[in-house]
Amino acid sequence: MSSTDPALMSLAAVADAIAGKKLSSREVTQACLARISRWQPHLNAFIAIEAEEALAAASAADDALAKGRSRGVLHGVPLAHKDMYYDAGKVVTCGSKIRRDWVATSTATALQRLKDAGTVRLGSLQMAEFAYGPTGHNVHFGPVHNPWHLDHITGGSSSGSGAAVAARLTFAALGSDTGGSIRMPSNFCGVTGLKTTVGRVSRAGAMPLSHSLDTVGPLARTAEDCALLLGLMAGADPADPTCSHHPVPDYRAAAREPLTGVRIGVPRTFYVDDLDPDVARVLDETIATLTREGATIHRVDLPDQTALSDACQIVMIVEAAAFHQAWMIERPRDYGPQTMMRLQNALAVPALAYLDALRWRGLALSAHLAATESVDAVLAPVSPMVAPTIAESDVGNSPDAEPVLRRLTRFTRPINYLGLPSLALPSGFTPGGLPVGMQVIGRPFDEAMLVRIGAAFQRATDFHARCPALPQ
Amino acid sequence: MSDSKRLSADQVGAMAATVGVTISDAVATRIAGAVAPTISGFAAISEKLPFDAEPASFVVAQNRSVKA
Repeated sequence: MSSTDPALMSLAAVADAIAGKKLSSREVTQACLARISRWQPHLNAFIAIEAEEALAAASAADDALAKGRSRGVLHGVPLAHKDMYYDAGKVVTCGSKIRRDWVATSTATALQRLKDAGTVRLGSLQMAEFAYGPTGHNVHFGPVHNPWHLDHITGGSSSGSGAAVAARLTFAALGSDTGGSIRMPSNFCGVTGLKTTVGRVSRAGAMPLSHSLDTVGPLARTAEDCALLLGLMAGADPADPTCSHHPVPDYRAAAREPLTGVRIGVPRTFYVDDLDPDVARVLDETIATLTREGATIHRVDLPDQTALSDACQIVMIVEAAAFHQAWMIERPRDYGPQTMMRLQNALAVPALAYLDALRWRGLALSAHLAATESVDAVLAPVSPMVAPTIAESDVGNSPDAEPVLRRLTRFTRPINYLGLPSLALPSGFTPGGLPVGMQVIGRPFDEAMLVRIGAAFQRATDFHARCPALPQ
Repeated sequence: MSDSKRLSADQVGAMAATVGVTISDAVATRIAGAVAPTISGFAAISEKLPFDAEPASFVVAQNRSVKA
C-alpha cells in the first residue's frame, strides 16, 4: 500500500478525481480490489467479490466519461453494500442459509439511486443473519473480524459494511439500522455511520426486519461522504408509501457550515451511566472538542430511556417474527441458533403489548422533543462498552445471550423507537487501539444538523482519517 | 405486567401452537423468562396510555417537529 493509494481517498475526493479525469474508474477499482484481496482473508467482510464484473463496469464508465457522458456525481466510483439490498439478477443472501441462492428480481430504491449516480458494484458485504444481531457473528458465513483488532467484533448487523469501510476496501457502504445496526459497526470499526430518520430514505427493496423501525443509511469515512450519499438517496418513493415527502436539503452544504452557535445537549443520566472508562473519557474529550469549535453544551433531562428500549424491543421482535413466520414453521433448522431464539421470543408477546408500543410512539417522540427543545442535537456514546472479543460475545442462544445483546445496544434502541436520525462518529481510541464512537442524535428529518456537527468535528480531529494496518 | 400476569411456559407453548410454530417445553420456559422483563417493563406505560392514542400519532409528531 502506498500513500498515494486511491483507495485511501474519501468518497467525495475520489468522485471528484474521477470526474476531473485525474484518476480513472479502472485505476480506482483496481486499487479497491487489490486491498480486498489482501484484507478479505483476515476480515471475512465480503460475501461475494465480483472483480471481473467490477473492472468491466469501471472500464465502461471510463469510456463513457471520455465521450463526455457522466452518469452522475458518483460516476465510476466502486462501492459494495450490505447483502440485503435487492439488486435485480444478483444473489442477495441476507446473510442467511435460507436465502443463500436467492436471486432478486427488483432493485432497492436506495441502491438504484446510487447506481443512477454512476456507481460500480464491487460485490456484496457480510451481515448478521437477516440483520438480526448486533455483534457481527454469523453462523452461516462466519464472523466478520474488526480491522483494528482481528480478535474483536465489528458490531452488527452491518458487520461487513463497517469492516470494509474501515479497511478502505470500499469508499462507503449501505447499512441498515433497526436497533443500532449502522451505529454499532461504525462505532466498533471507527467509521462514520448515519442512521436516518424513519421515512427519510425509501425501504423499498431492502430486506425487512421490522417495518416500523427499519432505516436505510450509509457507513462512510467522513460525515461529508454521508451527506453526499444521503442527498442522493433521500426523498419520496412511490414504491414505499411510508417514505416522506419532506424536501431534501443540501446536506453537503450543511456539512460545510461552522459549529458556531450550535447547541448540543448532553444527557444527565442513562447515556452517561455505567460507561467503560475509555468511553467516558472519549465522551469528555468530544465535549471539549465541540466546545472549542464553537458549540455550546447544555445538560438535558431525557424521559425514561429504558421504557423506550422496551417498546423498541416489543415492536422489533413481533414484526421480525411476522416476516419470518412461514420459515420458522417450514425451515426452523436453517436459522442460526441465536436468530431463531430471538424470533421465538415474539411468541410470548401479546398483541395488545405490540399495539400499545406503537400507540405510545407519538407520545414518546413528543416528550423527547419537548425535553430537547432548547438544543439542536444530543450527544451520547453509541455503546457503553468498547468492542468485546469475538469469543466472549459468541453467546449463541445461551442464557447469557439476551443480557449481552441488551448491553451492547443499550444506547441505540431508544433512538430507533423514536425514529430519530443519529450520526455515529469515530471519536477516539482505547490505549489498545480500538475505536470509540459517539452518536449525535437529531430532530426528525434534521440530518443536515448532524452532518454539520460531524463534519466540523472531523475538521478538528483525525480519528476518522486513521486507517488500520494490514495484519502481518 | 405483574407476576400474576406473567405468561407460563404452557401459555407460551399454546401461543406458539396457534401460529403453527412447534417449540419444546424447555424453549417455552426460556421464552417466558426472556420476554417477561420487557413486557413487564412496558406495562407501566401501557396501562396509562390515553384512550385515543393511535400509531399514526407518531407521524403527526414527526411532521409537527419539522414545521416548528
